[in-house]
Amino acid sequence: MEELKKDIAVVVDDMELNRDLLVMMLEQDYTVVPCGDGLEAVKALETYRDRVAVMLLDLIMPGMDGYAVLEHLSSTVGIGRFPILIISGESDVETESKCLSAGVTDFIKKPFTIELVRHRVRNAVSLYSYRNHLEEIVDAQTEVLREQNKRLAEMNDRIVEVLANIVEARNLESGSHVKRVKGYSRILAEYVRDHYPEYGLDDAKVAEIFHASAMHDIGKIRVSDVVLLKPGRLTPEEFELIKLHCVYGYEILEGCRTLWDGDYLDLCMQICRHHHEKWDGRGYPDGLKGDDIPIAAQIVSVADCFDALTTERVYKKAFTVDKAYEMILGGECGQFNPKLMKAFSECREKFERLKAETEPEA
Amino acid sequence: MTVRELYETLGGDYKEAMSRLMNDQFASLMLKKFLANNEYGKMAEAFAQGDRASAFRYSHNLKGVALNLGLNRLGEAVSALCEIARDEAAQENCPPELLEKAAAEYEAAASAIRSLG
Repeated sequence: MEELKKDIAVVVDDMELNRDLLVMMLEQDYTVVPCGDGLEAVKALETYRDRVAVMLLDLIMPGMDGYAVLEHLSSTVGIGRFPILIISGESDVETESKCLSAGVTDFIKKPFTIELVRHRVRNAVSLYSYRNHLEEIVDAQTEVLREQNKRLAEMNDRIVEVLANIVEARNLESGSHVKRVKGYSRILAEYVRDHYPEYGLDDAKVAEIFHASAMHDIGKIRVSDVVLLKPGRLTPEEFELIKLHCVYGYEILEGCRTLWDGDYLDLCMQICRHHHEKWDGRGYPDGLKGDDIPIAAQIVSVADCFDALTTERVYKKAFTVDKAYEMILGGECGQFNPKLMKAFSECREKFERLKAETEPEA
Repeated sequence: MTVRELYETLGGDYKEAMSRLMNDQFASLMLKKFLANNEYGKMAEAFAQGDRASAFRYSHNLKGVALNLGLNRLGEAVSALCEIARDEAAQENCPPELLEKAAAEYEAAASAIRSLG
């Protein structure tokens, strides 16, 4: 912002003699703009705007008087941009209180002495410039804080990603599973945001789901290699051990209470715990049904399932996108929310584009 | 007559006047301007016409200017008129002696200012 010198003192008095006196008193400190009535004052304020350091205002004047100038100011630019000192022959409490409550800074009573006027004006101006300076400092600090918050949030997301990548690396997965699940989750979340307002997703929530989805499998860090990396079919006992990764993830995150703010952590925990629940209640670990399953977990569940089907795992080959769509929509991977199935169908093009972009081998 | 003598003649306070008017030269300039502007004439006319709003405004102005110039006796005399003009009911019968007092003070001040060197 351009810094303008505040060098103008506007002196408003209908008596030329008074104006002359005030000009004489102030001209060593300011460029004084004398005004004979309120109308001239309003014009002068509009002309000099941010250059105005102070206004000395007489109350009783023909035409537009001092009160009218105050009213005009408060209904337009507002009082408080520069100090206003009332020059007044009136000395009753009522007048003073009326002016002070309108935001006037100080009073100079007639008759006025040179020193008194100079001191009052200097005090008022320095108080204002100090206040304005403080406001500038606060603005600058707020900007720094905002920037730091942004960087902190970015760091957070990076840490989450690194953690997720570690878990993914241990699973011997192809490398981009987390990245794709995040992307698929965002596509679905955006569709839900735009078509199903009942879930209350906004841009911020969508972004949170995008980032938090990275953590869905974080609990696998506690699952034994023997089970996790076993090629081929798992025994029912082994599958029970795998299923524990949801609760493990939830528990790991619970230990992070001091790290993230409540809502975001809750979202991460929901995703970890419930991304294997099914719409008909036949999922795990809690057997939640329908919309008892948090929407974020439902979204990540579809995304995770699609990626698992379309990529090669230690225990299986990759299915084609066609086959994966057929299986998910046909209920072969358990039941999902019909609204999400609509979203999944509608967003097929986006899913395919993302899959092509993140294919490491391609 | 010097500025100091003027204030002594008119029963004003020279030192106090200098705290408002800085020095003799500026004081002299302002006093002469005061005379030339004839704010008093406008006020007297307004009282004579029974124009209450103008009477209040001019007397209010004159009071402020007179006190600022250190013409204290004139300021006080006009202040009494100003209070009468402020009050709508009282103005109907403004005591003539108040107007006469103000006229006398003004004449004294005016003749002193005219004799300034």
